[in-house]
Amino acid sequence: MPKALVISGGGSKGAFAVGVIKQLHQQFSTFHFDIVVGTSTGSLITPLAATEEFDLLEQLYTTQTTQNIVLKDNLGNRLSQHSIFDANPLWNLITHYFTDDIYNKLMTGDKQIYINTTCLQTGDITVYTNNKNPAPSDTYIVRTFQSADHFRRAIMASACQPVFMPPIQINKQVPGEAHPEYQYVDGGVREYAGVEMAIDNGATVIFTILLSAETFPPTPGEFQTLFPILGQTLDIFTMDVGKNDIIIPQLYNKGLLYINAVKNKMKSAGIDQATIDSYFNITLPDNPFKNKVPLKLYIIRPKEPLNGGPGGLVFDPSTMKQMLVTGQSLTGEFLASLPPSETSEWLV
Amino acid sequence: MNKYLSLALCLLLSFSLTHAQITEFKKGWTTELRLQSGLATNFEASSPDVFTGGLLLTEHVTAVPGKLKAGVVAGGIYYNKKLQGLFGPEVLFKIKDLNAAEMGSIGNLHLSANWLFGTEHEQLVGGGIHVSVLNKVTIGLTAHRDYNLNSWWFQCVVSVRLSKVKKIDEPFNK
Repeated sequence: MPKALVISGGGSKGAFAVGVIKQLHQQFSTFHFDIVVGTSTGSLITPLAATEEFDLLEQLYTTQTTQNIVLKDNLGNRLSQHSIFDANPLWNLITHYFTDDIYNKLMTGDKQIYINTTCLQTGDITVYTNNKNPAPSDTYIVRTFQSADHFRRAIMASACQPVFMPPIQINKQVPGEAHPEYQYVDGGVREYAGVEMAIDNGATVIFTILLSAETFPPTPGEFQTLFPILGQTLDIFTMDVGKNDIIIPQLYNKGLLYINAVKNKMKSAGIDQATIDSYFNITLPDNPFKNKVPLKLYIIRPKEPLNGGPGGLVFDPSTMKQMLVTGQSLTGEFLASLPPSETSEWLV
Repeated sequence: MNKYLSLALCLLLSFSLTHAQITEFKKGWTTELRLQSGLATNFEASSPDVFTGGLLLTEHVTAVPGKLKAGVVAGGIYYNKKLQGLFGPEVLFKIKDLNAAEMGSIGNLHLSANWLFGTEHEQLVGGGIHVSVLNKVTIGLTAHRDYNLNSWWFQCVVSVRLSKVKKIDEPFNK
């Protein structure tokens, strides 16, 4: 039963995801994910979650301040640049923590990771992975890491919210690259949570951590200036993309559950398995249900907004510690609500 | 009590220097072209106020990031129906950032103080208040006392930044 962890974008709110992972590990130390998919801040968590560097993850997500991630400036100085913030501090963190050793471990290990980016030139979702034979897709492009530098650039691009942070030429140093000039940004522009990549690569138990809140309480007062409006727009946009990302997999899963129920009914009516299969395994060029079984799709997300500023770009260690604790406690509640038979299924 | 107050102020200053990101009065040199225009008066009805205007270059270096710049001013002025030179040292003290929410800043409010010498024996001491916008344009009002020729100068000032902002190196795009 391949298990996947999908982590959405959300900047500093990634601390909530780290809390979820910590709680899962604490309660089920023998439970391991086979696939980890990350978008934006999720892509920063993904390699360390896959290599099970939990202490390092916690340290990273509870000690960083905004200036360890981005540098602010006078906006006039940035008019001729390609982002509002200078993202060199984030790159320094990435080169420091996402070492060649981690890259080699991922390339030789049995866990698959997927890092979601968006190409600015083509608008395509481009997924970077350590999987040498990834499942093809009609809706996104998949590319395998070529080197440790390529891996780090993909993470950097996935974490860079366009306009706020610079676009990254991920493939600039890849030999024989057709378009080394192409620039990539946060995968969250198109795909807030990469559930689709987990399904395509065979996951049947999927834990999705969304960093936007279940509810979006009205913001009191009037928006009077440009920047709060921009911040609010980003939050609404993120919530909407997140909702759409989940609706489609949920609908897909409902389809699978329906097909499964029909198959079971046919079986109980005395129809043999070979006949049932002949009805359902129809050879269509794009049969999305072929050889797929219903998913266990779990969604863990904060009940209330986590703060973290516009786009989650405010990194405050004390707030992030609180987010981590919230992630842990919500996961504890969530796991307690599941029947033991269900959790024992994953541990097999 | 004063000792504790000093300690608290030092801690406050060091906190602001280490924790707040500096977006105004950043390290480095700045060159500006300054256009000024106004009047000089000795407040006596018997002698008329005279027009004064000038075009000057300023060069500043940040002495305390986020707080203080020091530099020189030099250029030509038109005063008392004559073209002449004016030069001298100047310091700028930032009093407020004009913040753009969490995005950074759009400018600052600062004070200037300078001591200027004219080629026709003017000796001006004074300063002003200025608003710098987008690190490109600064506007302000200044007042100076010419203690040698016994007059007051009041001027409006517009400065345009001439020095280019250094492009930030991006190793992830090389």
